[in-house]
Amino acid sequence: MKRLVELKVNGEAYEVAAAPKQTLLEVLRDELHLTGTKEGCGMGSCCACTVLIDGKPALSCLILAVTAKGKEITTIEGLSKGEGLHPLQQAFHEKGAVQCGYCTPGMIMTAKSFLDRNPDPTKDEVKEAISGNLCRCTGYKKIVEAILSVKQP
Amino acid sequence: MRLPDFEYFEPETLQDAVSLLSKHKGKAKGLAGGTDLLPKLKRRVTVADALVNLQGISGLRSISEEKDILKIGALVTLGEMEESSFLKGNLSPLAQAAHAVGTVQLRNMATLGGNLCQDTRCLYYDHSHLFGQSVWEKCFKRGGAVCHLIKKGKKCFAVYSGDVAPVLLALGARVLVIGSAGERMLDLSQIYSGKGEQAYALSSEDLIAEIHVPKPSPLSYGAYVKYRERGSIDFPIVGVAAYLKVDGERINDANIWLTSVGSAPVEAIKAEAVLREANFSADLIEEASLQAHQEITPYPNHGYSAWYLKEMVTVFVKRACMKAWEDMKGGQA
Repeated sequence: MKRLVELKVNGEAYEVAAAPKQTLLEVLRDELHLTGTKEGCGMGSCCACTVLIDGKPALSCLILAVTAKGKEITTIEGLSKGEGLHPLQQAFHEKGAVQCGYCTPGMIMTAKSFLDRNPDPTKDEVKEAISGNLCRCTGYKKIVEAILSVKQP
Repeated sequence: MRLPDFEYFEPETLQDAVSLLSKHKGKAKGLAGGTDLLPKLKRRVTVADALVNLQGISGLRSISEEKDILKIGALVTLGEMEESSFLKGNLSPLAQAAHAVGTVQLRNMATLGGNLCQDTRCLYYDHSHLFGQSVWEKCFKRGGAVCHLIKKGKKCFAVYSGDVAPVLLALGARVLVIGSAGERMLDLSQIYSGKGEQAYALSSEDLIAEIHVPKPSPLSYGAYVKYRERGSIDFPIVGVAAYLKVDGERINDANIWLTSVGSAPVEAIKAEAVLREANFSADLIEEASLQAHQEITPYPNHGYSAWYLKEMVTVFVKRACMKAWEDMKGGQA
């Protein structure tokens, strides 16, 4: 049976009728129509569905929406303020870090959380930080370059 | 894949959670981080009429010291463990083992209690029920009576692959279990049944509340080494935790536990005996690793043969002991 769940997504409060079996990913995409977050494996192996929960990257495919109430959820749609791109999005665009683009939202959310905690990382630290996010197109090189280009001076 | 229907409960106390589990007579599951349970529900290899969300239970999220015991709440996430300055300073192998699990995303969700109770794994089990039904006769772990991994195998050979348990076992950790009969303290080793198909000796109503770790003496040094295919998001092919209690060049006590070699963590008892009350030397570590090779017969997993894994036991027992010893030398320098 569905129940009303209050979710705080990208700073906005939503009240959604969700069944316990619906994952946060399903509610974000199907109920709130925030389709930037992608479903990959659905099993916790690819991290395409990464969103930030209270600032930390987590897998929306393995979180029940009913358990996410009261938490601060940030999706790729919540990154840029206004019409411009977030510096990470801009960097991915400029460095050619996007090919098919399916892994990109998860990759950027992971990178955002990582740079918030470690603004001046080394290349190896970046590689480790995104090591869970699978990308089958780019070979990761340009993704790493894009993230490094955003690091704070 | 989508989750099946289930009833959902949000108890606020452990007692309420236990009552709910008890009421459903084995057909309800406790939900903590969800990283092990939800994929199994999606694959329909685990069936649950109800999920009891444990995340709202207070008092299980802290790491605290009480006399000589370090208490870790069962809902502390692996991410919190690897970042804990207390663990990094005093029990770094435990923080390292937590860091060795999965990816940052999984570690932010997965809890210590859940990690200790993660299900055993097998190449022939971790697929959807449709895959299982269409290709093979039901194996032991799916409720049948054959093993596909070991031809003519008379039991289930699914492997326990937790990274954190061997370190806790080497430290002599105990767990506070709450069940319908009340509270009880168990040695961590007692929660593992050693059976692949049903890895836990706990009942479906039991919940782990706290993990109690005796603080190691200042002269104890440990290490966790994990052999895996990729640097990230991999279960161990072989994992070894070693703790050595030393006095100068003398090893007074040694505890060595392995993961991913059987359906429960395995202690290298003979290897420990070689090290205990002996003077350190590279030859001694070599001898201990050869004893581990003799006494441990790994189950094949990850597509590797038992023969190969046995060789790797030798290599990684040696590496774990050497790392613990180097840690001691580093501490003295």
